[in-house]
Amino acid sequence: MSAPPEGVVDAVTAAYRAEWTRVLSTVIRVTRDFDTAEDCVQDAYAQALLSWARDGIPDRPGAWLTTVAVRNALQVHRRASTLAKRLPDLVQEDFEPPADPGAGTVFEELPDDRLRLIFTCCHPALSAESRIALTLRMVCGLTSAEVAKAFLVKEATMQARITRAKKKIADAGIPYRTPTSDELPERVTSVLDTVLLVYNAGHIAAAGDALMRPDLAERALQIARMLHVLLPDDAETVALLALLLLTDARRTARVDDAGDLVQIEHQDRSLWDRDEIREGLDLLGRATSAGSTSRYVIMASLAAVHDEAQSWEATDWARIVALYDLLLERWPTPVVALNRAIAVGFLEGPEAGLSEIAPLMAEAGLATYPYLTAARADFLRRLGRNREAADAYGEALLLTENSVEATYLRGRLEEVSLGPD
Amino acid sequence: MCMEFTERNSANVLSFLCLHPSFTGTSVRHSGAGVEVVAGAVVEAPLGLDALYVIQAGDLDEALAIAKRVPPPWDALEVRPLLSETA
Repeated sequence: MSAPPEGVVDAVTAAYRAEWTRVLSTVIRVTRDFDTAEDCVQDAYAQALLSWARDGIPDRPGAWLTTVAVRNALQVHRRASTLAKRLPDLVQEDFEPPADPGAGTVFEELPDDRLRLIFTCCHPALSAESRIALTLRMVCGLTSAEVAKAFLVKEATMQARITRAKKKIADAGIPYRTPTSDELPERVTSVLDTVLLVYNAGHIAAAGDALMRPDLAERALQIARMLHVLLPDDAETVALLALLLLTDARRTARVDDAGDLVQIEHQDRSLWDRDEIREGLDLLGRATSAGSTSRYVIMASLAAVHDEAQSWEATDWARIVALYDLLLERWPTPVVALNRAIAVGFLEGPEAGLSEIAPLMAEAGLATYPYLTAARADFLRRLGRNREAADAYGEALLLTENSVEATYLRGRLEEVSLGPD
Repeated sequence: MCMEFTERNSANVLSFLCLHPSFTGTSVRHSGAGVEVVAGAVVEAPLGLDALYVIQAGDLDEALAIAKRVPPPWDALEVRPLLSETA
């Protein structure tokens, strides 16, 4: 068998990225079973490689893939009648498997298919870890190996995590449906938090050789955009998309050509993505005028202050501190308190920053958080207290597991070690 | 209180058991020396098990909605599927 022509491979790859969620969520409606649906959709993509090379790339690749995957599912059903046995697992409403669609029949997606899938994968009865893993596997179509790599765990560990999450869905009876309007706020939060966690995992990789995992950041953006299309009236969904865009706009400026970390203070602002900023600001305006003052709106507003500043010096620190005060009220975590303390340091000077940070040193939740000592080191350096700064940089170095961050901290450590005490 | 909740939700509550406080419990557990008898509950208060309801629900969301209606006082409730429906 000869390899399919490159154009076909590209088309299948593009369809994988663009259509996976649609295809899988439609097929699950038919099979009522995650595993069977996954297998049938994978097979459909494999069949596309051969078929598209032979017959040409279809006008609507998603519809082609869905139709073939559904046909695969019906064959599985006929062969082993596993479908009948598995029906109770995800059964919610009456659904008759369609007659064999046959050649020429196109199986269409229903508007709620993708929402059902994502709300099920992000059900609050699942742990945050499981929600992230399931969302990347089922909603984004990443393989377990890819998800494992993104979170630096062994493939077998990730596979077990995904299997256990699916088992919980089936055994605990997590329903496969979209929430009612009463439930929507709570359920949307659970979804949006998951998307934000995926984005954060991509924004700063917890460990490893690269500062960021742009693939994860892009996946998170992709889901946020999809949710925005599917839930256009939900202000929190609008706010989350705004937050991701306003943060992501600075992505390329965060590392230099050598792959080293560039702090926002020294970033080349001409590299910031103006389109993302414009879109983010527009969405943020819409969320705010819808009356939302949620965590996402405040965080997006914080990102917007940086995006709109012409230079580091022109940054409106008073507004940033005020926004952190608001965020701390709504979301009183040690990390938010630390970020507020840092902002105070930029507003009122490094001395003020240090005294804001001091009480946080005893915070158990920050004991192993490298950014606490790194922030302290930075203010000490700005005050010329080089020896203390060197100690603090050294401490932060012991805590960080990301090698790009470590390189940055080592650079600073050398700098203050050369200066007078 | 248990009774009232049970009656009002009779369509879903199949049976319930209310327990005495956890200090009245006695545990039997495996140790290095074999099986020993220990005073107190296996799970220490404040999260000791006080009551057990067997309910019937179409899915987890319905089960959680019923759980939220259990009359106070309680700190936390856990909803778990039954391994088998017949004893």
